[in-house]
Amino acid sequence: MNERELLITRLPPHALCLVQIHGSDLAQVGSLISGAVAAPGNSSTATAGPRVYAMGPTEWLLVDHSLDDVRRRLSAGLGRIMVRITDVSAAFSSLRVEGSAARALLASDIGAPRAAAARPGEYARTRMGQIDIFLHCVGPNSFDLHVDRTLVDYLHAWLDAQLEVHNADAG
Amino acid sequence: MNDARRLPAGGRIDRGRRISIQFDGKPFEGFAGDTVASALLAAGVRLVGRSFRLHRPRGILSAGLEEPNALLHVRIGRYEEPNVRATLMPLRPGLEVFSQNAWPSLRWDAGELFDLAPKLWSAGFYHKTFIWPGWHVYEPLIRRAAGIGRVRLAEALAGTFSQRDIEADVVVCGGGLAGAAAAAAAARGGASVVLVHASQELGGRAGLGRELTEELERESAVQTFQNTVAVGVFGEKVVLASQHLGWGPQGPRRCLLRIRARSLVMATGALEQPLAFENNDRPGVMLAGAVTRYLDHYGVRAGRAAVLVTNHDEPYGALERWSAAGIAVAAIVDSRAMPGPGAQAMAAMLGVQLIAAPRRLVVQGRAAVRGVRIQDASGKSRAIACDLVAMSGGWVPNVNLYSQALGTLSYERGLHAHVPVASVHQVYAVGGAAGLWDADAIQMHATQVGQEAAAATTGEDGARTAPARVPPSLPDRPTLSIGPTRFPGRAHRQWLDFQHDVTVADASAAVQQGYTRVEHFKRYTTTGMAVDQGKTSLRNSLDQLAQYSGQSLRDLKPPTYRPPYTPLALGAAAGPNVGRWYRPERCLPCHEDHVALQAHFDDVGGWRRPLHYATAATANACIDAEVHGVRTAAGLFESSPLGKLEVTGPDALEFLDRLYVNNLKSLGAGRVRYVLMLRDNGVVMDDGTVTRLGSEEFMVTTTSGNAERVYLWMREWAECEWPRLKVLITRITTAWGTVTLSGPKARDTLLRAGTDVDLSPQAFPHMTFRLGSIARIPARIYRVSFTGEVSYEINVPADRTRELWHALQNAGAQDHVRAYGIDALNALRTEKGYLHIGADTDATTTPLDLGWGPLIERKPADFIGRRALAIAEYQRPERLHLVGIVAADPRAPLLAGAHLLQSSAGRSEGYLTSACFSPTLGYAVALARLERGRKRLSANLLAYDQGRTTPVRVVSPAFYDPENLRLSG
Repeated sequence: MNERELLITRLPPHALCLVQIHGSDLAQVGSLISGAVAAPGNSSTATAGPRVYAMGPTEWLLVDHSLDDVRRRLSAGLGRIMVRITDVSAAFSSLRVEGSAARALLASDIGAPRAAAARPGEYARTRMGQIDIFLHCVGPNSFDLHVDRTLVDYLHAWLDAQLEVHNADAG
Repeated sequence: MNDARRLPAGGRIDRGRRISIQFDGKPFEGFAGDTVASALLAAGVRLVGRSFRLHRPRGILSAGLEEPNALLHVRIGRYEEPNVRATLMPLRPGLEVFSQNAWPSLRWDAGELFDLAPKLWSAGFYHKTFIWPGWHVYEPLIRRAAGIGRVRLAEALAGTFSQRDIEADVVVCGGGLAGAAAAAAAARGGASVVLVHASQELGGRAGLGRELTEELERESAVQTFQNTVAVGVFGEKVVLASQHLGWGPQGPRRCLLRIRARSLVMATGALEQPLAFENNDRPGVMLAGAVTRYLDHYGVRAGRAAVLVTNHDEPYGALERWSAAGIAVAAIVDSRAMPGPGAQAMAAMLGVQLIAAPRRLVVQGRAAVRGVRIQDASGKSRAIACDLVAMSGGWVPNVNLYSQALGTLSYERGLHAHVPVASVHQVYAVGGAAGLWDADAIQMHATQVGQEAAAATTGEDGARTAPARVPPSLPDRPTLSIGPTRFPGRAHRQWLDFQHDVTVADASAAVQQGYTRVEHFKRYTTTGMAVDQGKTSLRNSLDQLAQYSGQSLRDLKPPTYRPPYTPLALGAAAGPNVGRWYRPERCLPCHEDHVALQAHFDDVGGWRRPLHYATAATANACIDAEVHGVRTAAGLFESSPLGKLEVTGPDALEFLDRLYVNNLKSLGAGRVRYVLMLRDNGVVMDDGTVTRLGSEEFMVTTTSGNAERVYLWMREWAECEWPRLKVLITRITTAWGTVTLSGPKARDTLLRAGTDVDLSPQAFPHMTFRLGSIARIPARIYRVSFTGEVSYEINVPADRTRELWHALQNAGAQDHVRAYGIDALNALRTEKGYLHIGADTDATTTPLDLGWGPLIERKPADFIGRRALAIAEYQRPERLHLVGIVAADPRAPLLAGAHLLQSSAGRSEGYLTSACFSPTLGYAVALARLERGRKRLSANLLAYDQGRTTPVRVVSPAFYDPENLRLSG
């Protein structure tokens, strides 16, 4: 933790997979899929272990789930309904921003301002530093940022620069 | 301290804190709380600027953001900003302000010579420059003279600029009585409220009562942003506002707020309008309301002896206050034949002569008002000495932001102005912006609107509900007895738009030329198009348009209001997104390896990609060596940015067949096809490949720059147009890294790297696909080529791309396999005549222009854009066809962009789209778009580029290996 009480670290790789269904199947299997991947809601999930982000009504991003388990659970109830499960682990990287200044830093330039005021478990798909991110509040002052792997270096550097501005503003 | 015009007491300034500033190098003093304008007026300064076109001397007109004249260049330390309104700029230590648009000095400006022949520079001047003798004669002069103020970019960006997103149920623009009442009511209704106010203190002309002030201070649901100006409304109620956070060591600290609202309340007040009379632009002619404001807020007398010029009763009410403060009222000039009885009584009580409906009114004085000459209704002339002419042409609702939010307007005869007529889509106007004047009516109406705005966004349980209520109706607006806005006199000396020097004569000329529609009139005269956006000019200009064209103001629709409502600093617009943070930069999975190979990088489609590798003394030598390497051995190229989409489902084949020009129904499993995608207007949108991975599983590649666009295009068609097709689209561009190995030694290199795939040409021919492994890394391998050589496009999980790169580097070392960059790839594909979308095509190129007609005819099924291809325009024989070009002299270079002419005096018949010196062939080659190109093979033409002509010949675009023998090797 630095003098301004903020730490930005890169998290080890996660297993991520994307689950998609066709819109016409939503009414039949939407709740089944939510149940199978244990999605508590469209804006909150577990703060650790297997968790799931709703990307839209027919898409979910699963973190640290076992793909085989997911396939097995889904195949039991889906019958002929089409579900696509794609391993996208290599497409994402994750950063953790934690410390007492985390919320203020994130609020400085975020597309969905309420996300920076989230409670543990709440997440949002939003933009920061002109980049699409998943922002997940995993602790009182701790946030995980999941971002396209090709942009993670840029985002990390951008957060560092914002921190400097934030520190300067804080005096 | 020269403050002869300062009252000994009064105003909202801190008389205990003196602040020194400089204006044009001369020192002045004021107090904390002063603006530059109030300090200069207190010191008796009249001349502060020059007009844009005629360089007329100009003084301070107003006391707010509508100021059109007092635009100054500001410097504090390293920070500089042009066009800062003196009426808004607070004094601060170290402040230096400079007049603009004058040379050699403000007092003696050579540009004033333009005013000797104003008819030469009258309205329509720009229009006429296109007629005779030609725009090119005027262009250099106009470009040098254009603009108001000069931006010094480095200094202008020295401030600290940030940006912030905010959400609220109700956003109120304007913190006067109406805005504050609406905000408080909305908060009471359970809504979260953002209140944006341009100045430090809430309360406009009417002020806020203590009760309302305290309620707002108490109310946590109201987030108030002071010193914040709303500059525009965009899309679905997104308000853009510029917040001034004070000054830091580098300059101003500003934050651009993007505020998303569910309901918008516009409490932007009303703006006092000038009147048109001769020399109404002289320094010392001010708005009457501004005179009162300078007295009340700053304790400054704008003059010693004033003449009030008006066309309605309201300003009479201020005369007693002026007299008491020491401004002697010398006369009242009213454009009406019969001012109201109250007004007449006031004039009589003060003993001021009232001159009604004069035949002529002329302001005397050049750099400052010295008096007025009046010819009264009986024809008798008289001169009245004064140093201040206070004018008031009535107040018009400030509807700029309301109109940007798509609110509708209608002419209100009683106010002689356009006013909001009904709230639309939860956008409301209150207070002066709604045409209300009475404080009680304003507060009552604003409270109702605030409640309605809150109710439209929150249910009782806090849930969002759709608006279903009828908004509260407006109380009756007052009927003001507004007289003529123009006095009789010489039209070319009566100003309508102070910033752009538009006169009544210009309005007359516009109508004579037939520009009787508001939008045409505005553009011909340029009225309302300066940085003040017509705040003090639009009403009078429309009035003159109506008068000269015989139209009714009721029938004249006001022009379209556009952002910014008030000027926005460039730094604030850019925010933190400058320099390195201008836009996100993607790095390739093998970025560090490219760095190690001394790559020269550039931003290509948002990716940081190697242009070439520094293996020789010059860039061209590097590129030539890389091309030579690919043609003679093999080259490694990282093509990870290639767009990658998986399209799956029982209807995936049908879906893709409808999307692409090609007949994909015949595509077998494991086969790859080069494809072309069109927009629905028949124009080429993208190219790429489609690979059939399985019966219902396809892999689509797109150009790197179009990956996101094609993905969204597919989603739109799948979800909105063809929702019954069972198809899923998965974006996997960055999940997979891609390395292309290309050249005659590519196969040998892959074999040495180790693979379980049979690479023989028979088992793995060109345009096929195999699943397997390379160097023990699971891979998707495509035999496709953009170089004309045997190529393998190898896709592996992105986090294993570097592993693959290293393996191929090691395996290819003995054959001198080397990396090549974008520049070499461009040369390789140009030699081969391969198309580059965006370079060899533009927004008009169809597949017919590219020679795809026969293929399209063979496709039985429909596809996006097919119907559009039948239109006559696309069938014209003169269309630009894609052809190859070579120079007659093999040593002559060819440059992309050069025009193709029949003769040196001929017109352009096409242009070069891609060009390079071919290291393989030893001469320059180019692709071009040429009229009737395919019918003109072997024709001799000239390539013209910046005065230089090069004889060239039209050829087939395939320069290298036209039989494709090397591809299938």
